[in-house]
Amino acid sequence: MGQFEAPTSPTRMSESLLRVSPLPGRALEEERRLFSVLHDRFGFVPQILQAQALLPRLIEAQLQIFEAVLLRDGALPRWLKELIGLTIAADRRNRYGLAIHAEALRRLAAQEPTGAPVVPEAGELAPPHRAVLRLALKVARESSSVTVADFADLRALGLGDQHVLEAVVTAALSLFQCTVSTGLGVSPDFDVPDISPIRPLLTAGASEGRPGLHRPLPVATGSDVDARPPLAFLRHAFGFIPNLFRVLMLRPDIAEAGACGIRLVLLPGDVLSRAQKENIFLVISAKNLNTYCVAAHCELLRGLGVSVERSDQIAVDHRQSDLPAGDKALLDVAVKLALQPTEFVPDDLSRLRSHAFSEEQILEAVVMCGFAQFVNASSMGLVAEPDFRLPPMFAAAASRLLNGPAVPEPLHAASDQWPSPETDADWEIVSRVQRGDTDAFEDLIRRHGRRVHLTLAGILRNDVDIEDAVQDTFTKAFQHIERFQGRSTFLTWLTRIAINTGLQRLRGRRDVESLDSGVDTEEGFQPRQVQAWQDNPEQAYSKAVMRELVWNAVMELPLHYRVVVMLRDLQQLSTAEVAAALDLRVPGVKARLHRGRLMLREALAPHFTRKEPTATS
Amino acid sequence: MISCKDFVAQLGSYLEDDLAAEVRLALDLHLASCTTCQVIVDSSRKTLTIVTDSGAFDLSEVLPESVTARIMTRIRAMPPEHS
Repeated sequence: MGQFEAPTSPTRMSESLLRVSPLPGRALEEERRLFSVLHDRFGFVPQILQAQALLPRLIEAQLQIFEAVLLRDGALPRWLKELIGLTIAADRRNRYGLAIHAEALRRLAAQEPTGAPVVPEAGELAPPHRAVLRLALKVARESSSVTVADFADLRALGLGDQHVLEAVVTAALSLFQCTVSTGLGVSPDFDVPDISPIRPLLTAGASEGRPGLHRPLPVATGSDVDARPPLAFLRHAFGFIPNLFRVLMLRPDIAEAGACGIRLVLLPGDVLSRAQKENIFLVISAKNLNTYCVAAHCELLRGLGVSVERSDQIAVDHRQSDLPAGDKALLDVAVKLALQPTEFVPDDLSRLRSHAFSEEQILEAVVMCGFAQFVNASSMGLVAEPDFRLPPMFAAAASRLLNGPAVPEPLHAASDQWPSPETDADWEIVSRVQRGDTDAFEDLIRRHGRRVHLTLAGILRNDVDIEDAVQDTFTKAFQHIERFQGRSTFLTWLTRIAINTGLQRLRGRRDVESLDSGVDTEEGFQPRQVQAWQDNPEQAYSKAVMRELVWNAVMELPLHYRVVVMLRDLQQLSTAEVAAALDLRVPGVKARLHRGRLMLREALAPHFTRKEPTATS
Repeated sequence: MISCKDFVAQLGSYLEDDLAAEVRLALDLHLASCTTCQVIVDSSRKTLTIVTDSGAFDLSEVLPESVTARIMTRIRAMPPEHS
């Protein structure tokens, strides 16, 4: 276990955005006790915790979680967990996390007699370690798109359930730390390392092994399990045992630490009210499209006497709710801190002061945001089964984002001209089927079966579900062929059915990937690969290798980019046809397409950059 | 003054030549003096060529006969919906 040496005096005043006045006697005593524990544990008191001296219970909670998730020995080696922290901090441009994890890695490397490198190069990492890092990055970037297929990649490389759990929870903890350090504006404890050796680790490559077993993590159930400490406590506190914690019971100490977070961060009502904290949890979860937490926290708010209609409105758009102006400002700041950390500025906290929030309340709000990120990333990252149904308005909004209607409504003209018998080669066959010639449908399957298959493969990826979904797609198309009025080409209409069928299937197996339209902007996208490319990259590899490189890179894109790139660039539908198939507007398609292509460029760059001539060549 | 960030934000429209003349001119001026953005433009164009020409979405094959047969068996068991 690496001991840090203090680069600064542990008694140095914390530098943070909070305005800390002298502590009252009891709090001071508690602070001294905790700081002494921290000093023994780390050799110094991290700024991120020093800055929370106003509310020692928050420090206590984070200490428990850090201990269980990061410091205690588990299935993953400590250096790999620190590397996850470092990589996620680099991904989020978080200087505090970069410094502390780089220092930890340096200390760990110094203990190795072999003189291992502080930050291993991406190519030096063993495939299982790379796979763990890839899963962790996905959890940190977009936990709502994690599916059991991601677990299968780890299993194929010989890793087990506990490795999966630790990868997800370590990533979630890194988000917690990044959020709190940004919110409190704390200075790094150590020198901030150069980010360039870390960059290659951020380019998540394609999965490497043969796909492994697709199954969720085990869920602890049974009356004997329910009577055990963290679960019994949760039932008492909430009235139910969240499924997330049943999954976490794979590592009972981590479940216990998570429950400690609930006891010390969420439940107390002495600083912010419990409802204010539940609302913070709710809005962050809603913006993350975290259906698990939205359902759970609406239920918890109901237990506090808040009607489902009210929480539903807060989840969908808190600004339109009847909350007081101060609470709306609190939620604005929470959402910005959690979802746009690089744009968070000290003025955001001043806004809360102008609404008469105290320094203790601001501190608790910041830690609450971090804790919400931690639970969000853990629940979707571990693909926990929801405990409750979603409230109706949020369910409808989320479903609009995640799915289209099951069977397409007649299209509003997405292109200037409707297709005609001259422009739609399927027109005549479709007419025959509509007149009752069932056998003619076989021609439509032959013409478009492969395309439908590939479209569904792009959505469902490796899953054996693909063939079933192909059958469902054609069955639905046949059942509803009377509704096809030729307002789009038959192929566009069929593609819509295929996409909706694929998405419904994802949703049915709880693999909800986001088709969120709120991300269609290049803002904030920073190209990382800026080395010049070869002159004729298309000649660099054989056709077969090229095909595999491209397919793997497309499959690694988040769903909302993947589907657009697949339809436009791989299937070569027109932009208007893609818009019609996805029920999007053309500018929205263009924005997604462009962003998806930029991400592909990042993924493909390592294969096509120019090789610098070496001294000997 | 156009920054690299501004440039990347407009890159999609730039590549599709879908910009007002004055915006295009401002971007071209930036591009002339910025090797990083030159690399991004060049590699983005090459990415598009690689992806569209890769044949990753090969339509030459057809579905296995068995799948087609299963679908036909299923739909023959149900008449189309009449509205």
